[in-house]
Amino acid sequence: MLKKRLIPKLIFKVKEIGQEKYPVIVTTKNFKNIKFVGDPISQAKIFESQLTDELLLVNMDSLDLDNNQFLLDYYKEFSNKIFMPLTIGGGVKNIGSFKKLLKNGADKVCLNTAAIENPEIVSGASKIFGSQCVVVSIDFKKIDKDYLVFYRNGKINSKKLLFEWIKEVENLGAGEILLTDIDKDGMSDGLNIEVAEKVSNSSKLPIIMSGGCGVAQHFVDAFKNTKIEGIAAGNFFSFRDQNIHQARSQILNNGIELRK
Amino acid sequence: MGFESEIVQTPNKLIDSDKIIFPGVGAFSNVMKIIENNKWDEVLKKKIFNDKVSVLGICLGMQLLCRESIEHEKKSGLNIFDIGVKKMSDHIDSNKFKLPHIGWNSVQIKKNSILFDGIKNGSDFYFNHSYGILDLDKNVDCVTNHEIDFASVISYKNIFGVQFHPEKSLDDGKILLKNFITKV
Repeated sequence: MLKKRLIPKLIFKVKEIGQEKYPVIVTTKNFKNIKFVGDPISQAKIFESQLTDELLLVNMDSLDLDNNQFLLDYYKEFSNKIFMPLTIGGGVKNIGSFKKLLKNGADKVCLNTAAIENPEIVSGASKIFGSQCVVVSIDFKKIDKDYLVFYRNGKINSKKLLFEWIKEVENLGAGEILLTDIDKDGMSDGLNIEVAEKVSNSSKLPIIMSGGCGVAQHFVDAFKNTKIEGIAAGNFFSFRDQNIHQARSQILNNGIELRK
Repeated sequence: MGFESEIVQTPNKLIDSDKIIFPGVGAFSNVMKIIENNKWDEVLKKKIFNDKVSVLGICLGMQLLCRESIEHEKKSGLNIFDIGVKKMSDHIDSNKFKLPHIGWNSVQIKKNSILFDGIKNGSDFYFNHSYGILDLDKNVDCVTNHEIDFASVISYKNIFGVQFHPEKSLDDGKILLKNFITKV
């Protein structure tokens, strides 16, 4: 049977020191309080050896892919060194972005702001490249009683209701949905189980939940109480005090199937 | 992995190759149109039928070797295998089993295959697809389950198709690729 997925989320910024450019992983709290934590490729090698299932690599600067050979070359280098399924996001703005990323190492392409500003990119990419490589990332926050969708790195309130936007994205032809609770991001006090449960029960698409993983038990709680297919975690995997092998054992011991 | 390989951009370059690996990410009808427009299909068929070159089709590559697929429209494939490719959501309860079929799933060996030399039965490989081979009566070596059984490995003599991505499936994937290159 299909196993549940643990997906390290590598959010990175490109740092410039003199003439040199360096991609560096960052962690965030509520999408702010940026801390630099390390080199994406060396981190990814650790995740590869510890049997995590896929990698999510997102450029927080949303750098334009059109005139950025540096970034495309970096993605190519990354995918040549890391043999894990790779989802790349950040700065996707049209079909051309999909083409460039898929050509330079992405197995799946993740888009967030572009889906809201130009929803036809989702349907277009799905027809040309197949829905299995179209991941729509949705960031949300609870305002009063409603869950609302935010974009542009969580800065702008789209005024769209979360559950309605998810249905729309499904109809547009997305293959997978990545949900991030902005208020839980970096707080290490657990995922948003209420939203995960509601969405995974009503959507036909695989759902990846993100935001709030602090300890292995958070993964167990989410997999046991919802039908989500995977969990993407940034801080959990970046800070060395959480051991991936231990987390996998705890998840497996609770009867949740992970890959052998 | 230590073997000489080349990513081929034009059909002419295929003429000298010993073995062909046919990977795939994309939509069936779109890619078939590109294949036909650039005459890849003629060269591929010649290599397979005349020169008896070994071929490994991966994911969409496997599906393209089949008779036809129904994506946004019914489209013929290369017809190396007389098998149809179907939309899985037409045959699976998508309220219980999500599609696309994305993630790690076990491959059950039904017929011994040289590709699986050294790989345990039931090993997990990485899948990412919405379409699959649901008719299991011809050429099927391995099956995988996602509510229903579908073909994860098909073969005929030295032509192979795998629905999963061995190049993304770590150690077992590397063993499978090595087997294709050294033992087929």
